[in-house]
Amino acid sequence: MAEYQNIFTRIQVRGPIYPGTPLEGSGGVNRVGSPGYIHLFGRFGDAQVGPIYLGTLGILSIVCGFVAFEIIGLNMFASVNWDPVQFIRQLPWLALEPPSPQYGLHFPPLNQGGW
Amino acid sequence: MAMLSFEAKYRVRGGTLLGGDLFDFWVGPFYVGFFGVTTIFFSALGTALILYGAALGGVWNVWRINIAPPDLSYGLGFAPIREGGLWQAITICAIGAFFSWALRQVEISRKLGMGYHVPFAYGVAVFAYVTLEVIRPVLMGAWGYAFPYGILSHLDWVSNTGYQYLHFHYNPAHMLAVSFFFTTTLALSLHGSLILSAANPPKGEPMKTAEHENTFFRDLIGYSIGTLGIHRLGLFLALSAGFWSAICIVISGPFWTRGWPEWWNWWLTLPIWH
Repeated sequence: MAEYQNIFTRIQVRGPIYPGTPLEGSGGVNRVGSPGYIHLFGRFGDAQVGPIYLGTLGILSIVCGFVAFEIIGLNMFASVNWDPVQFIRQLPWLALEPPSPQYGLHFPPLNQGGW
Repeated sequence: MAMLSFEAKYRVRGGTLLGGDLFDFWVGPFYVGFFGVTTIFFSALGTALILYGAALGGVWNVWRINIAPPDLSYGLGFAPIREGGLWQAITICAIGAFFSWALRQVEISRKLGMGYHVPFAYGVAVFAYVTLEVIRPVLMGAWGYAFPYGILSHLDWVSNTGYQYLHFHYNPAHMLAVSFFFTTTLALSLHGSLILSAANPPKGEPMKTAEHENTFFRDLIGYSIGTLGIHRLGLFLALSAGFWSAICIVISGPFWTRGWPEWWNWWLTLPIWH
């Protein structure tokens, strides 16, 4: 018990790999990835990483997130004339701005807030 | 007040830091101890002084009661009671009460053979208060830089102090503090909802277990920090929020006097961009 006095501890919270409770109602979709241990995680919490359940909605969520991330990033990149050095230098100040108020609630052209 | 049957066996003698057995007793459910006495003393005196200050101010609207620190011209000296001296006495009472409360937590922890996590966590909040009311004013050379005691007046102080640095959100320590505050609410909402969802299955089904809780987050993001780990994470996030709050205000003034947006020029002028 004395080993748990601090946030970080030498004791590993590392049980046998647990594959997860039985899947119900997933329509035959299974968990993916082979679970393993990460020592540093085990110093703070559980060491086990994976498996993960994605399913159709999980894949869709990752794809949409990636597309949004790319749209924001490429617009920022374009705003510094595709200069990689300036992209990193000015990154905290770069932004993908919403449409100006004159467009009201309508769709503006892509480069005026449509993106 | 009724005592639960199992509570009696935890009411053990000893573990006190000061006073030996003299104050080692309970009043109803409350452990007293030397620091229980000093807590009562400082909080009663401090509250009475606040009421006295309200009476001197002549405003009994609870939102507008204001007890201001001394004018900057008093520097770090004592001020007359009506010109900030009251604020100084109340601040001493507050610090006395907060430290007593923390040490009372230490004594209770010692009695129960527990770690000192609770007094440590509470100590971070006290540290943030002391930073605002003592450390920063001392570094800047006048008690007048501390915030006043009053509901609306301390809000005015926060707003005025923030605008002195043009845009306080550019303060890097403030960024960290805000991020930790938000992450704390995220972690607590995920933890609270996870436990309640496991404890409230559909009608007729047995309550779910820690295995279901672990599986939920492994299914969702591929990792579950675990039953002990989530509490470590929560404590770390919450204490970091309070700690960086203290840092973000103590560097504003003593170590940086211009607008915080300007501070970031070091990044834009790094030699690596050329």
